[in-house]
Amino acid sequence: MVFALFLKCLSRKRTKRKEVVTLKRADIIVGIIGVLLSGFVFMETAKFPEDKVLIMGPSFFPKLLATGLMVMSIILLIKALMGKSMQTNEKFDIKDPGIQRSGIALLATVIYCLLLPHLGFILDSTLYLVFLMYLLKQRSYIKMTLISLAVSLAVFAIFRIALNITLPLGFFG
Amino acid sequence: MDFHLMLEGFSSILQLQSLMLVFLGVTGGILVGSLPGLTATMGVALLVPFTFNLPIHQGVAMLLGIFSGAIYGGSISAILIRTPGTPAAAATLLDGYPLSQRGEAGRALSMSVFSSFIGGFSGALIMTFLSPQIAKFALKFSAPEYFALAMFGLSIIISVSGRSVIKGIMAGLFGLLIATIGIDPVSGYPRFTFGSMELFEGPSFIPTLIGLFAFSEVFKGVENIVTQSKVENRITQLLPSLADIKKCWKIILKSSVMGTFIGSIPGAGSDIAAFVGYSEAKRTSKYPEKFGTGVIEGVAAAESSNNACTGGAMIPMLSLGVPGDAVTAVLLGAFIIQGLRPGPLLYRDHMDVVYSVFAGMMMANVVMFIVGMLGIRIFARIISINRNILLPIIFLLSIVGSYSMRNSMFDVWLAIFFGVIGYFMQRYEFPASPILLALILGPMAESNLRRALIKSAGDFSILFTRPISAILLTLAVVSLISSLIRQMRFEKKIREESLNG
Repeated sequence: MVFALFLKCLSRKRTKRKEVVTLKRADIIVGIIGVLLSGFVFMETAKFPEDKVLIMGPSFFPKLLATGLMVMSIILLIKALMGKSMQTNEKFDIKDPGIQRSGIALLATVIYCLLLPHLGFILDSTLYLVFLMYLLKQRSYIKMTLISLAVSLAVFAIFRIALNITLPLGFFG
Repeated sequence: MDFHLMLEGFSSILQLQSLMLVFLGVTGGILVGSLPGLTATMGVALLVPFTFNLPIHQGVAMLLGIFSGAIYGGSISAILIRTPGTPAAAATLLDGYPLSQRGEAGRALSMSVFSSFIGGFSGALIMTFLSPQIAKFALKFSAPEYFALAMFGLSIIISVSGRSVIKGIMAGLFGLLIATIGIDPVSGYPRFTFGSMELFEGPSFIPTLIGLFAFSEVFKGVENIVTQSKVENRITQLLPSLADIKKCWKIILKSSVMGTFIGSIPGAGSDIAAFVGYSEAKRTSKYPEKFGTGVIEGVAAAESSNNACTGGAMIPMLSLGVPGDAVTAVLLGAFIIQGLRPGPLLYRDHMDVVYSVFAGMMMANVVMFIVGMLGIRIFARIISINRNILLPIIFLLSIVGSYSMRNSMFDVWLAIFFGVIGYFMQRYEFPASPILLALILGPMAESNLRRALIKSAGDFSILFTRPISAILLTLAVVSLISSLIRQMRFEKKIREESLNG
């Protein structure tokens, strides 16, 4: 949710003309996130018990850090508003096919993890690898399937048999 | 140095099983190091899960093999395809690639493995002699000194990574905040756990850094589909010629010593060491103008320096518990998982373990030399593996690696979460290394700060009145301010250029 909002803010208002891209918008957003995060830390630490014997209770250090983060975020914000943000070559455009690919890869990873207990490691991993290779424009299907299956089996063998780490099993796996 | 303990250390390493594990570690390290897009930090993080179930001596030996291999491996792709496999190999590229363009790839690669070996081995030797002295000295440290040391390490890594000091400090503070998640070691109160049992011990270290350093990289990697350049050089030479060794030996020795000392500064890593070694070789050369066009000394200087750095970075890591750079921070985390907690007390109470680390480090370099020399042709072929096959495999390894530490899906979600954060951080120029160092140094900084302040009844002056802590804190402030000034000058120059242009 938060990230969707984040992406939306970043992708809005893009002019078609080629221009120098600064990190101004990003700096403002990060500055606000920093201020909010340190505010949140202050709110949470207020609930911590105070230590009467040790003086420095569990909230002491987080509060110190949150103060620092707040100060730095405000400096970043002010610098950004004054137009002193650094330049960058890469702008974040949600319509950019590369960025969309990253998003799809993230989604595929989430789905892979959700399906893991149901499909079992080997089947799920093979499908996941084939999908990612397809996403990266590999089009030789036989090669993709064989490599994916071999890698899944090898990882399974190394972790399950050699290292004795249980991987989730299920159908086919 | 205690020869009896040293012999014992070697006898534990020189067993078939340990040697096999070092061999596997080195090979794995060279592979991940040489594959462009896999940094040494990421490589070590991905390989650490393979050492979890091993006994301590063997696990540590394998980790050291991975570490040495990964730093050397970066030079292979730097020389052959002009892409440094790790940031540490960026200086190797300057002369290594022109050499391979001239058809002398074998000459460059064999010099690279030779000087890496000499550098790494001298680093290990210096570590063996120096770190016990430092540990002995550090036994006198108490809480304020440890707090100052943690701050010093953090300030250096903030000053050297990334273009913006403010962003570096923010990353460091963010990391320190993450490190406070979990049970407070002093009072036992669970902080920021939100009722989740999984967070009681804090966010687990390996999944967090797999997220920050591996997932973030592969998310970035799928953005650009690049066709991999093929390696066309035929490599016939496995050993550097006597003439080349004669030409370079002074530079190799000098860079080795310099690299070790740069590595031993907490926060300064092998990429810096490599550049310092390279520019020193260029400065003292009889023909500095030829550097960058394929001079063998350039390769020798950069590679001996960045591998010597591994031994150097181990010095503060082992004797003080403060990592020298991002890779050693990962290594430190892995040591702790193995049940080995570095610091002066380790030297006082478990000298046998310390010596097995020394022996392991030396053996790792010997094995690296042999594997690197004999395997050059194989590694050269592997780096031309297609990225559209490689990246998916790294995705899978990242997931399995984060799962395997506690057999927990929660850790996998944690890694993905930090992967997304790491991806955006990278895009908006927030360095990730300060977070990593903060995760290691955070608990140390906090508990020692609180202990110091309890001792002084809340008086902060205890941090500045004790000489060692005062010096370290001053150095920390100086390094931050000087990098801030450097950045301001740099920004001003860019603004002037854009106005004029």
